[in-house]
Amino acid sequence: MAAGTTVRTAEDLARRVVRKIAPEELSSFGIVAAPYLESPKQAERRLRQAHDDPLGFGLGDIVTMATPVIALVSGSVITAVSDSVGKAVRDGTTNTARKAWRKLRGKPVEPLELPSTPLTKAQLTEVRQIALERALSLGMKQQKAEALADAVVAALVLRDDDQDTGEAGDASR
Amino acid sequence: MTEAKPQVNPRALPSAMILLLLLLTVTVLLNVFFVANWLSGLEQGGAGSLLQKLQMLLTPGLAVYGIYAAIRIRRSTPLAEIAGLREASKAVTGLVLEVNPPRHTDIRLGKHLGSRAYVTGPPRKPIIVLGPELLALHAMPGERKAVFDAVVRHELAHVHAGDLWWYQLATVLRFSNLSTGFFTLFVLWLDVLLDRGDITSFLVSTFRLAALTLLTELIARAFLRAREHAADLHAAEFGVEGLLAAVQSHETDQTRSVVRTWLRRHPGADERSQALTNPMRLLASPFGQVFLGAAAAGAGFVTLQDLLLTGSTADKATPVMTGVLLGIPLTLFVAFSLWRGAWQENRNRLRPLLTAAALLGGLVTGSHLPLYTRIFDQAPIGIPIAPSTLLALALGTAGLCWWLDSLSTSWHQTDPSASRMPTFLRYAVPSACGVGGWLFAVLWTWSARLRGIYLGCPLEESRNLPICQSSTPESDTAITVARDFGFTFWSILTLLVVVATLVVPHHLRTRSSR
Repeated sequence: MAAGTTVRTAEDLARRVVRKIAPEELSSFGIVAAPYLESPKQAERRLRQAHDDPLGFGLGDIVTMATPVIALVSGSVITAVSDSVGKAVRDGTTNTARKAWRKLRGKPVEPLELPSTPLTKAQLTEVRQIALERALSLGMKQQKAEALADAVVAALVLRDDDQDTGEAGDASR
Repeated sequence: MTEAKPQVNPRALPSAMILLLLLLTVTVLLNVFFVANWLSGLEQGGAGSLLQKLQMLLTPGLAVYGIYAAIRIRRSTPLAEIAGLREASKAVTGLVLEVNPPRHTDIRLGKHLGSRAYVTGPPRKPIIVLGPELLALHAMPGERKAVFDAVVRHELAHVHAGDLWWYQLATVLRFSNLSTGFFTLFVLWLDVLLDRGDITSFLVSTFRLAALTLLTELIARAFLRAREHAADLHAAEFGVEGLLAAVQSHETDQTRSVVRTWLRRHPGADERSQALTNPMRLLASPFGQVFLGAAAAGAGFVTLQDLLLTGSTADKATPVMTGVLLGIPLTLFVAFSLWRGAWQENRNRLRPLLTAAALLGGLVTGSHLPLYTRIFDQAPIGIPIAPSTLLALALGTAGLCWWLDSLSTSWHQTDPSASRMPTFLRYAVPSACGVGGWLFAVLWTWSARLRGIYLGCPLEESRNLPICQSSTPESDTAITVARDFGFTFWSILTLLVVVATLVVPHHLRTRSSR
């Protein structure tokens, strides 16, 4: 995402949340978050799996970064919001069929986008609950998970505010 | 003033890793050779057929290693080619220069590796693949950077030690073990299909086959864990804090599960942490390792006897030869395990006794695992579960372990820093070979004779033999074994060796202290 744009995709949302709750991870956001945003199901499976690679280090999750969890939570939130508003499925085709067709034609799958209309209070409460439950299920501690859920809601409420003026600077750090 | 504790270099003592690799190699090759011989025998083939079967059983391992390494390399990208990771690439290059491995090492990014890392590729061109989450740590402050350095150094230690060669060999052996198990199962199933075997014996054989395959796999995993300890110790030479930070964050209850510990390719976090804090802990080989070695030897006794036996009932040399050929390596395996433990701090005084128990349990269990296909079909009998045989085995193994332990504890008193280890090994190894070879020749002959009675006497043609008409076959066997081995040259020589190795070091020590 270019600096200074609004939050529309999972990547935009994740980047804003990382900036808020784990700014030290922002410089590596692109490379760390990519697998979790591109194919969240496989990435989550790998994250949950116990790894014991021969000639590896042996302790799979030696690093406890916040970015992977934030990326997965953001993906879930965007999917849930899009589905609830009913605009996740474009042009009347089903999401899976559309993805498969695009893949067959060698075109990249378009990321889900938030609806342009602002979210209602009830929707934001639901989003917070989804984010909290998802973060807890991914192994995040209660306090951090609540901070993450609050940051997600804040990013969605202020999504059109140009808060990212300093992001280019952050990213190049 | 208190005397300074002597520093022991763990590398002065025989390495557990080499012992396990030898054990794995012998176990797999013996099984492979036996099955290849059996399969070629079914086809009535000669040496050509045997070689063909050996090739068939050994090739899958090499193919699997090659394919696996190729997939891993294909899924990674050279680190230097990624624009956003130049700084990370520089940090890794700095660590490579620090560790200075003997071969050029490629560093690559595995996009989907998360926070993991591993070494792969051909042994001459090693490649380290690092996950993005691990690479991200290079720019972070404090402990996170130390963890990054420690993990990369651990991987470089694998390259430094040439572990890809060992891993390749272990992979070939592990898959040969699996393919051997598979072919044996296939032949057993064919036997049932052709109405030559019943389903009960097929199920029993399958269970024994699975246990034998698992036994070999457990030895392979123990070997891989020993390699990881060695890599940790090498990485710790450049600083132990980062490694401890990485490892200690995982000291959970899960890693203490025995089953998980035995099946893992890496030691548990708590075990690694303790070994890093006190490397001398690694000198005490687990009793489970002795059990594995003894079980492999127990299976080996039966397999080798089956391979060597001419089929003649008057063949008295085969059990002796089998006992000597496998008794020597088994004794050395147990000896090194006990000798390494003698230089460990706070050593367990019951160690010889517990080692003997593991040795006895392993031998008896292992001897019931192989499939007797050449001589006795699938008779489910190994070392007979008879009081006389078990008592003789228990006394023999306990005596052997006590004597081996006495050798090392006696030497330890004069050489607490293990600085004269080669001198100790020069006299202790030949003595152990002689005593162990003789002891297992006697014990295995005893077991094999009693087993022969149990297997042969129920047959119609053997009922008239004098030994089959005896009401006390166990004591008759004991008497014949005592008569055959009692006052022979080898028995007297063995006794002299035991006495000399116990008395002479003690005499030298008391003379020097005077």
